[in-house]
Amino acid sequence: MDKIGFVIPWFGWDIPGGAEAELRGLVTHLHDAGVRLEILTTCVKEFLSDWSHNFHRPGTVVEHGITIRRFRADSRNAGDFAQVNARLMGGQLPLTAEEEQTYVREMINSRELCRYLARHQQEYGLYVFIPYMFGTTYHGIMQCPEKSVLIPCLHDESYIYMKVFADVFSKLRGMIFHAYPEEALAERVYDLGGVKHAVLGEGIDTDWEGDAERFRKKYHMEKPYILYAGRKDSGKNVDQLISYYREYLRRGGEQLELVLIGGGSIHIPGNIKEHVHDLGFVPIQDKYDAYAGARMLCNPSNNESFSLVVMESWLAGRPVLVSGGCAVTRDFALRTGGGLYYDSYFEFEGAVNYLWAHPDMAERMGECGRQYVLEHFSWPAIVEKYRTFFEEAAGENL
Amino acid sequence: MKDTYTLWKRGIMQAVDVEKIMEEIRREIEEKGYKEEDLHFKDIALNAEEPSGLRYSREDAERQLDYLSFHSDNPVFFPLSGNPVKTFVQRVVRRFFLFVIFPAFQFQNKHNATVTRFLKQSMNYMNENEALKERLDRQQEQIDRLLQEVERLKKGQE
Repeated sequence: MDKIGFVIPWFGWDIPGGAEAELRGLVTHLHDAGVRLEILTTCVKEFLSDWSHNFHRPGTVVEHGITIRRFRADSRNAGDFAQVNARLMGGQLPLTAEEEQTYVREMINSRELCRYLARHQQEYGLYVFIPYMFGTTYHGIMQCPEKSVLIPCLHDESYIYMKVFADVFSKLRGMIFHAYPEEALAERVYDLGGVKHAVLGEGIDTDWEGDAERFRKKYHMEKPYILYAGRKDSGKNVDQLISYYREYLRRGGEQLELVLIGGGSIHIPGNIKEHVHDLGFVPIQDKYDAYAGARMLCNPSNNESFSLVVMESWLAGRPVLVSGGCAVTRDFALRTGGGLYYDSYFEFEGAVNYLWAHPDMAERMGECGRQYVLEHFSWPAIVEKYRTFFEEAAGENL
Repeated sequence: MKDTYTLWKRGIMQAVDVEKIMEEIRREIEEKGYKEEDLHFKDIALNAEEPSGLRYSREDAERQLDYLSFHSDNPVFFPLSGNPVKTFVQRVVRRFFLFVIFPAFQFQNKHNATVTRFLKQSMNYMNENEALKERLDRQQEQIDRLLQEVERLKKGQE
């Protein structure tokens, strides 16, 4: 198969961002498996940079054995973009056709990149774009839609409803999703009748083991605990978890403590401080050990697109408790049998008590989740699935 | 040690019906007559121990920085639309006051851009510090392991 060009607005080995991290992992493992690929990107540093500022030099470099081609970003009218973006962020739909054109025109773009994609398309079996909402994706796909595959990273937000995206995405060769609810959302919003699409998930490291006893000894955890792993802020619904846990204690549920690991900060009410262990950042092995020692992992977030912590808890053999308001984690819990979900405080309390009172079932749930992760999201499985998808998509071009 | 993975693979473990368990839980909630009024929630942010608005939220900070990045450059005038006569009059009036308004907007936009750049620098500094802390934690972990190994070797020699 000809080489694959992965197109992303910015690329770096240590820049933040979910899509950025996903692409790094995917290209690294595909490359190690012998897939010929390149990264095609702009000279902009990262999401939080000035999108007109070319931080990197344009040109081609090889890093970790992977060819990276960087192209100059275009100058843009940030003011015009800001006006339209404000309407989108405020959910003020629909936009006029002119406003949508302003959005895609004044987004991060690179005419140099687009010219390269058009002129060199015979050298590539496919172009794979990630994520959906950026100018490099929109204009890049238009150069060669019949060779374009998109990993959109969709959320149910204003941007996905723009007509410009619906028009272009219906012409794609393929689309890859992380979870079934994401696919369902795309099918609802876009015409994917002629687009090859599949739910392939994300890759996750599986070559580790957690030691529950080691965690208990190191952190002096004498009692069983519910674990939360992730940033502690209101966007992740951690304040709701604290509220629910406080109510849980008040109503007599004192057999379980609450352990928080990860960055950020959240206020812990004084009357429950002795039951809540905020460990902050811990070394990675301690995190794995914490998963293994937990009665359950609770992920209260309503905005997950995949949830690595849920997968990691399953790899440690432990069940999860997720918010029913998050379509993705709820779907994973139902699909795998790896945990329960809650839509209210009473369901939270009931689910916690159920997992406490049924340790055999909790262990079975953990194992169900573990089997599912190993079968679907280990790197060998992901490489195989993505490679098959790309080969099929590219093969249909011939 | 029981190998539950092997048991599952052999089909001994049954698939878990999550919805069935959730129905049991909901039935129990109904039977016990639990009501929202039984609950004693208080907003954590309004807790008397900590004044609201002072909790650090990285996600909020990043969201606000995104907003500033997009909105630091304000256009002098917004596009006009609607009745052609009305928009003509508005255009004429705007041109009259342009010489006063334009320099003020330029000054303010420049100020906004500088503040936004400084805040981005602050965010970068915070990110670097967090990364440094993580690295230090990992190194401390390695040091602890090495010290344990040294102790073990010393005991072996005694």
